[in-house]
Amino acid sequence: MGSEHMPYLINHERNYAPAIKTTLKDPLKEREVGMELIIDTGFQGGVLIPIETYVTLNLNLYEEFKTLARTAVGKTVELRASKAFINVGGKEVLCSAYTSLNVKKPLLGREVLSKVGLLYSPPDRISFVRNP
Amino acid sequence: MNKFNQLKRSKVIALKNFDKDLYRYVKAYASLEGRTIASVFEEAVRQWMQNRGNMDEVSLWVALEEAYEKNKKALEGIRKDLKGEEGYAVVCEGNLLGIYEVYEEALRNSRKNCRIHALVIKLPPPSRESILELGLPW
Repeated sequence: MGSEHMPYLINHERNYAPAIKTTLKDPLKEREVGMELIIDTGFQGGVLIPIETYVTLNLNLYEEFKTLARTAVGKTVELRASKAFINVGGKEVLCSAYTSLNVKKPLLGREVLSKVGLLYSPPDRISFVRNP
Repeated sequence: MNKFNQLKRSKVIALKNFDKDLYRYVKAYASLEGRTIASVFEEAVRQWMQNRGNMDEVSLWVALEEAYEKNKKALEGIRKDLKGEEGYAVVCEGNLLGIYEVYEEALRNSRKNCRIHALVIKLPPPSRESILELGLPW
């Protein structure tokens, strides 16, 4: 899997947020949704998706017990939990899928990075602007 | 108002420490406009929710929450009976649908028989909630 086949997309409006195109499928592989996820190395789980996508994939029919999630600033949030297949650059793995109310940014976490073998490497060249 | 709405409205909701003056104003305005106080509160809360986000999303969430609590309660009720069992338990609509050896078999049965929500739990059920690092407060 060469890096030219799987670049993370750099979105200039989001301060170079590392986004990646993926396909999510329910664990029976009957339904699928294409989705751009933001790679979040601070997120331990698989994917965090909006409730609408979660229900579209029927993940509400394959739920596990809820999980408590703690943010970097110590706030605790309850997440609904299920499983989903994620396809990244042609590689497909089963991962944990979470949702909560008002998810604005769908995230891809360390579980997927680890299972797919993705290395998050930020832009290797940095130029300084003398007179911004 | 249909029967369903009447049932939805039969609950009495008490608010503690509500601003007395504000309540008097609401009462006065409601009386002037020939409306109930409840209808003024409903309008205000609906507006507040519209500003917060998608009403459809909230209503979907509430439906899932109710079904989840029902299924979780059902599973807690039979936790002792599941001791020693292996495989995957499927609980939906407040009842144990079955215990399946293979995960995919449990999923297929859930999809076939459950409508709103189902719990597919690996046995033995975990005794406590897991904690996850979420990263930044997005």
